[in-house]
Amino acid sequence: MGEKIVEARDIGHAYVRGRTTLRGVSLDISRGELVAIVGENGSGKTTLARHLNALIPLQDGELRVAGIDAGDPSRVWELRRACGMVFQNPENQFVSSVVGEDVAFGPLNFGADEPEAREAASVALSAVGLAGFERRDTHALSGGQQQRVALAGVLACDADVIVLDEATSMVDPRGRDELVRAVARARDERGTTVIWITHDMELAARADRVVVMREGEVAADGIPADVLADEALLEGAGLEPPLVVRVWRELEGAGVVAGPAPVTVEGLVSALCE
Amino acid sequence: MRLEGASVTYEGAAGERNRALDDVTLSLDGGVTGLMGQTGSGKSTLLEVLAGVLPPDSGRLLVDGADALRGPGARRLAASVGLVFQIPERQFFESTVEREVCFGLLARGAGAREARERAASALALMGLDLDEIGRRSPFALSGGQQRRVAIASVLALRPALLLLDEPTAGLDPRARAACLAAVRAAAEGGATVVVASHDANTLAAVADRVVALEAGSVTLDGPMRALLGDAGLMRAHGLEGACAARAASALRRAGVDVPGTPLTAEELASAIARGRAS
Repeated sequence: MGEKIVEARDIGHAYVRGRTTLRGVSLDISRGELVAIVGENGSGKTTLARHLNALIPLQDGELRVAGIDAGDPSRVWELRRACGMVFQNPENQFVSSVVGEDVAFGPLNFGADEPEAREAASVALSAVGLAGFERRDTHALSGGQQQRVALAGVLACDADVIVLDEATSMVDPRGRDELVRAVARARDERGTTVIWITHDMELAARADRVVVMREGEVAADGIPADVLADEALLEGAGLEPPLVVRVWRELEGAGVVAGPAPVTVEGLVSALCE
Repeated sequence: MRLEGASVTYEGAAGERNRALDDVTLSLDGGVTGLMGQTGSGKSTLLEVLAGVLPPDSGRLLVDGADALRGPGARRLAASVGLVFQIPERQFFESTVEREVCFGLLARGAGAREARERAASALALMGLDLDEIGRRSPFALSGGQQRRVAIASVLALRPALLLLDEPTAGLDPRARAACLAAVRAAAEGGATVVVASHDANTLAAVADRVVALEAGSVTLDGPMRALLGDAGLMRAHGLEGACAARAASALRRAGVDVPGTPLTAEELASAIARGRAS
């Protein structure tokens, strides 16, 4: 286990008194890890993400992100710089209709001067495969390009952690693949930690770790091969295993295959070709 | 319903002309039609044209042979159409969920009691309880709940023409299954349904027919299984086939015999088993 970049201890939260959204959530994430968080609607995924970015104040428990105490109101801006978010609807997070200005907004707000912010924006746009897009209109981009601009905005602030909250659910498959590749590249080249909140089990199967949320609690935390092949666990959390696991179970029931279920298509191909 | 030669052009920020629909002709007669295409291909524009809220620059929209763009035909269309937008919170304007779901019913002349009953049953179809969330603001709900409330507010009207833009985006498996079952039930009750979605698995579960758009033109139009089950054809059009079809295609490339066009886990497993047996 490398350096811990996220340390959450017993986080609890209620938006309305008496209606608990998060309960005793403890989670450690190491620098450079890719963690998928899955759970049904209302299981607390987004509330947990909002804590990581200090979008909601910590009510209960302890949380440190990149060594910054989320319970210290004087360090909110530092924390937001260390942990950036990409949301479901890219248009909701743009602050400028010009790509370069939008990406430079974060660095400018964190104290960079104009030339530094422009440089950071241009480096970040290259990192997400959008070099030369500085003068383009954010609203005239495809959904996948818009999400990559949002990602560039986070990278331009030199974030240690990126949280993507359902960031692929409103873009087409090509846009999703573009975003997945850009995130993978940021992780490889910058060592960025990635927390991917998703309903897409095929995407979760490619993570280093999968955390399952159920009714505001962490119901499971492990490698995809263990968590995503555990149908009883997933069903209890209102989730469905990846298609490959369901195919494997059917084949197992028919006596065609035996052994642990693969969780990706590549795994199914190699298991059936053996 | 028939759309003939419809074209729509938007003016961009820099005054440039963007053609969103280009000479689209389409007949709809019951069942569920899945609408696919990349971002910007014209899906949402086509739904707005079919709903009568965006008149095309040229072309005709006919319902039962009558012009549905103006006069009595337009009023008939307005009274029979239900449109669920891609971003549900953009269609909310009432202070509570109950008012939101009852609004269309009351506007169309239902009594308060009937409106409440129909709102409750539409919300129940989407797995939501009117007594539990009826007094909450629709703007304070989670994303998944908002989408379900938006769909319920349209289902409550029992529209003859039901148009849904990305209805399952951001929904968990249970909510997604409830949504698709409600859409299927509307079609079986006689409604003509159009579902726009990027997700081939969603359309594989609900559609009878699939229409694909590319740069505002119809590039594919055929039975759902023939299109979504053909991962190569979909890829050639810049689209993605159903998950099972893509897995089948990867298995075939590796030399595994997978007969047929499987679209679900069960179908793929049975195809693999048949391939092994032969």
